[in-house]
Amino acid sequence: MSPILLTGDSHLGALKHAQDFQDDPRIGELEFLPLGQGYGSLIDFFEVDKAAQTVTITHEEWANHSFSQQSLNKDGDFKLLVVSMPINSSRILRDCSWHRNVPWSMKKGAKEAPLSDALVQSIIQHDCAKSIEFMTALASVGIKVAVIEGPRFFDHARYLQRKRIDVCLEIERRYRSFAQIN
Amino acid sequence: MFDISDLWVAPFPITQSTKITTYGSCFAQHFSRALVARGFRWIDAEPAPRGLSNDSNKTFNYGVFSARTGNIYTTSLLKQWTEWALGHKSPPDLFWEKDGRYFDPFRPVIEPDGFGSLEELLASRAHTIAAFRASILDSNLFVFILGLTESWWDRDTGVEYPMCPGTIAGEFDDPKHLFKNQDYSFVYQNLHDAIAMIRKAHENGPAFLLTVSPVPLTATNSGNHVLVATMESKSVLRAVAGQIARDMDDTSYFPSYEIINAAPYRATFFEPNLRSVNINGVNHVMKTFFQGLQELPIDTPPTGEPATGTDDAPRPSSTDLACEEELLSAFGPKK
Repeated sequence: MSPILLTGDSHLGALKHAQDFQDDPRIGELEFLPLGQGYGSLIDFFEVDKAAQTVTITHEEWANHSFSQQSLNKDGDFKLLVVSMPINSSRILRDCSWHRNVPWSMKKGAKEAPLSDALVQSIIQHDCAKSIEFMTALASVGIKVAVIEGPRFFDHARYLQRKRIDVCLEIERRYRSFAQIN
Repeated sequence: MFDISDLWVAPFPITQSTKITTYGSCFAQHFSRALVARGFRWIDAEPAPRGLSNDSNKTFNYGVFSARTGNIYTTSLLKQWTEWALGHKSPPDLFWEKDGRYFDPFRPVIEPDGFGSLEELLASRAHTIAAFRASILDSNLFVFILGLTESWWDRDTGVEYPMCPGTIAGEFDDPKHLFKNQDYSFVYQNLHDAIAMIRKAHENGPAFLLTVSPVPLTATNSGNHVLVATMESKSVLRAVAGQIARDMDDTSYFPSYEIINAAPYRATFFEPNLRSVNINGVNHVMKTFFQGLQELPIDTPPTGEPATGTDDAPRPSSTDLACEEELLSAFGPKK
């Protein structure tokens, strides 16, 4: 198996824990390069140099690192870069007020504000746009890149309290659909 | 020039605990921003969902007025929204269509690309009407900025549109759509009726602060030159606001219009296009307002801060504010 480099946000911690619990020798082929906390992906956090075929992290609080296929070959002869970034619904399910706002077609109570489909998409897009741009940029400079999708939320997640589970599932469905298309 | 003072004194208490609702033409947005920036209790009855970016907050018209009504340019539109909110009348299921998208004729730019279906549009409108109701019934002070006398109506249903059909979406239909340049008595009666209705539904209030938008017309359908039409329209609105303030209790006229347009200020508060009010003008209007409250220090933060939003963003200029008249300026008929 060729060595694989995993990079991304704090989600890498969970993946590293999983690696530590595995006996499969192939798991040892995985190496980790954490960049920083996922909230950093809400702003511009990288620059692309098309001439040098590099993507460089510019976020002040993140790891200072440049990605290129050349450096991946040099650093560990990595054949694949796997990215795990916030392209899942956990952040917006946690931070947005879904107990008061629902997609318009799901409105039940008088106190629920019906959000248009375009508005819900705007929230999703804002959450993952920079991450998707980053992944697209890595591919655009010739890096072999794969993307890890985060799992669906667990039913005991604390941020689900006071929120309708059917609304959360719908937001999750729309998020995943948007991220996969883009 | 800036030594002009004592232009207005609040005739009733307005404090940081006063619950204030703001509606009207686009100049009302400056009041909401300034009130929020100074820690006043501005009512946001239809707040943006957390997680919406600052850009989307603006695009989807959150935090502009106390509910997402869009601009309420005329006193008759204020009466119409009030009748809907208080259940005296129901809005017809009218919509405008463009490129397969549905636009609310009563809030044509509330969603940047319209709605996906009529059902989606009606759900959103119903929520805004409920939010408008909540804001007027909860408020101690209602700030209303009178903007226009020129108005567009639907002959069949008798409802008024805030914009000429066909400008943003839909199609103008000559026999079906009517133009009316409202005269003094019409403007007066509708404003009087709206205030009376609100006070009947809301026993102890609210007080009303009336002002006239200082922003001149971009275009006119009156047949007059736009300069002449502007002067006539603003004169009617100014006269009505003053008379209502004299005729009705707990109602005051605040001189936004005079502060920006009076000759001693030499048009210094306009952008080079002599139409848009610059940020100095906005700040001077709001400074005059807060000075008139007497109880507050005037050395308070400048205006222009967003009323809602979670992200850091460049401070908007006055021209960043959503204003349907700017759309008219770009795409509408020119005089």
